[in-house]
Amino acid sequence: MSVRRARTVLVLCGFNVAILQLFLVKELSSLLLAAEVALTLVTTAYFAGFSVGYVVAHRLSPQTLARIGLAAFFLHLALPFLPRAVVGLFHDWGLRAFVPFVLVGVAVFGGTAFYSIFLPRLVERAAAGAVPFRIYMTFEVIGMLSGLVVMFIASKAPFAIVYAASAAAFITILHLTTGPHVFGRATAAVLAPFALVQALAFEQLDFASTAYAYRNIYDFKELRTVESAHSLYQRIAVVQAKSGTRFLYLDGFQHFGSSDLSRFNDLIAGLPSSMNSLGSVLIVGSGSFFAADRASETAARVMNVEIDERVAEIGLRDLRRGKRPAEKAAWSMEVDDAKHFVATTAERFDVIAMDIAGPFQFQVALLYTREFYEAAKRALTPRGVVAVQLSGGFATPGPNATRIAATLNSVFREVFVVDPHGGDTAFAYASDAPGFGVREIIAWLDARSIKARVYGADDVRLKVRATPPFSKGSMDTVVVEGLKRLWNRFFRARRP
Amino acid sequence: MTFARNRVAAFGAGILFAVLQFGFFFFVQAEVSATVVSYFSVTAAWLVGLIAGLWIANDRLLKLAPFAALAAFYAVWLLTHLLTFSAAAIPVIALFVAAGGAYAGVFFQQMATRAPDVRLVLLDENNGFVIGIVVALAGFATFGFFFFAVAPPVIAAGLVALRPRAVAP
Repeated sequence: MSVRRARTVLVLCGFNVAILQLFLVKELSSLLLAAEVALTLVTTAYFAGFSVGYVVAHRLSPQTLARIGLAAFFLHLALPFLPRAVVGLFHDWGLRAFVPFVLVGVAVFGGTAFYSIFLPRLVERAAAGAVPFRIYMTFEVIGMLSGLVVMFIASKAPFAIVYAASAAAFITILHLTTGPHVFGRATAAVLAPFALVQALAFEQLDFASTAYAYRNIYDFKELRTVESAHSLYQRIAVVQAKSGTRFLYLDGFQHFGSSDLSRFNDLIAGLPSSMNSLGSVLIVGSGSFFAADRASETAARVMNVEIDERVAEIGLRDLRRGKRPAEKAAWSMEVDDAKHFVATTAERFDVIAMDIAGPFQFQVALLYTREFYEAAKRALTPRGVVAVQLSGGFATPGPNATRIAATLNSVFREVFVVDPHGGDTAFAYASDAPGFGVREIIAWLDARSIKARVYGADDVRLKVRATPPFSKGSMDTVVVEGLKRLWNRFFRARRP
Repeated sequence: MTFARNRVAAFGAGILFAVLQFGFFFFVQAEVSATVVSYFSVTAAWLVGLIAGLWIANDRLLKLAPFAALAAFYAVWLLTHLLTFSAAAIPVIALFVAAGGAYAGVFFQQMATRAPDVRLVLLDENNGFVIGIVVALAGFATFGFFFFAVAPPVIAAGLVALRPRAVAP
């Protein structure tokens, strides 16, 4: 192969490796509920694929490589949809325990294994000293940089377009490397129609596979997909049940839709806003913006800060159907990392409501640390309050609930906890000088017929006294709880 | 013996690269910003540094590069700690991240070009990288910042002690 062809092949390999890393790791880890452990599992499998390619690189005859390339091409076209279909099927067949292994296999063989064959093979085949190793590796890395740039620039474009580019890159790789052993000069012409059909049917396949997977994973009777997207941060899906209720899933976690989540919005935003009525409320996260609606019932001003603009767009369009959030108050939104915003804003808020997922990934767990709460305290008015969900009940608290409450307790003078009966999670309200106490909280709950146990500040201090707070350097439960979630989700027998 | 030592060194280098990258990403996303701009900046800086390392590599640099990478790692830690949430710090941080990537480039160029089989250098380094991802996660989760303080110099010391060197053809 000429040096020019070899460089082209390596650039395209690097390009696709970067595209797949940014897409596949999110896609597969969301099917594993995307805790940090799941992310790491998929990432290590993805990079392990390089080793598979290096091991076999010198053993493959040109004909075998051609056959593998052809199979890999069709796997590449199926990658955006096949894992979901397989996961859905395995759930349907009661074979959940096999799901992690299947997804690891997809990450290894569908990700990098095929592309990593070429660098060592091309270096080996170049006459010794004829083409330096560094030229070939440079071009492969240039390809990776190109892939990164394309994903960044095209982040708001339909993913089908980016994927079509990667399919075109794959066809070119096959044409330049294995073409003579497959369809000769017609290789690209033969394979292109398959890529074209996939690109044209991408949205239908995307929606159908999403609905199928979520129907089986989450035991819906009927489901249709309203939106399916990959932002640069996470996997986003909005699905609609037969009843018409819409559900928002971010990285496989439900963020909107059930009645539990409606109560979630009441308690994370409605309650603290009522205690500081006509105040200014900051809500970290967006989702459906229903927390903003709850806050606006008593607040004068509501602001959402959301790192992922795509989630906000989808929430506004598909969950609210264009209805403006927080209609009863002045509303605005900042697109920013909440840590950065809270630490640098000159504004002061009466309520900071943390409408976010639990601390199962390091990046989210950073929003549960002492350092973040200290920054949040500086962004509060003197009587301001931070509202946090504890990722579990408080009566018999799990590790996360106790740690979060302990962290709040280490920063704020007063921490109250509300633990709804039959709910998935308790809620904490932390302040240095709250304008309310247990009595006001109970009155608010009674007015809304919400049955819950309320813990005063002394009760909370007693419960968390031996528990170390979360800090940037102390987030071990992220991994421990993530492992438990994986185990419980896929390997623990379900009660009939 | 040199061949076996080089293979272990490649594996160890992979572990070190994974630990350095984990640290770079964590420092930047925890202390500066968790937006995609930060993520892409760190990733791109490492890759650009890798390319630079490929082209400036020589045997002397191969001996010095672990120390330079360590210095860059702790410089990023210090900068992100001092310039918390300062977007203006990102270009400077990127330069140090690139220095870490340059070590990888120097290593690959010097070890791969004179190894009997370049495939084995790539394979051993990648295996080390995969293990390093798990080591970094488990190490940080268990020991917190103490892991970042201790692990990189310990691994680098092991690499220096192995004295990997390009084998003459």
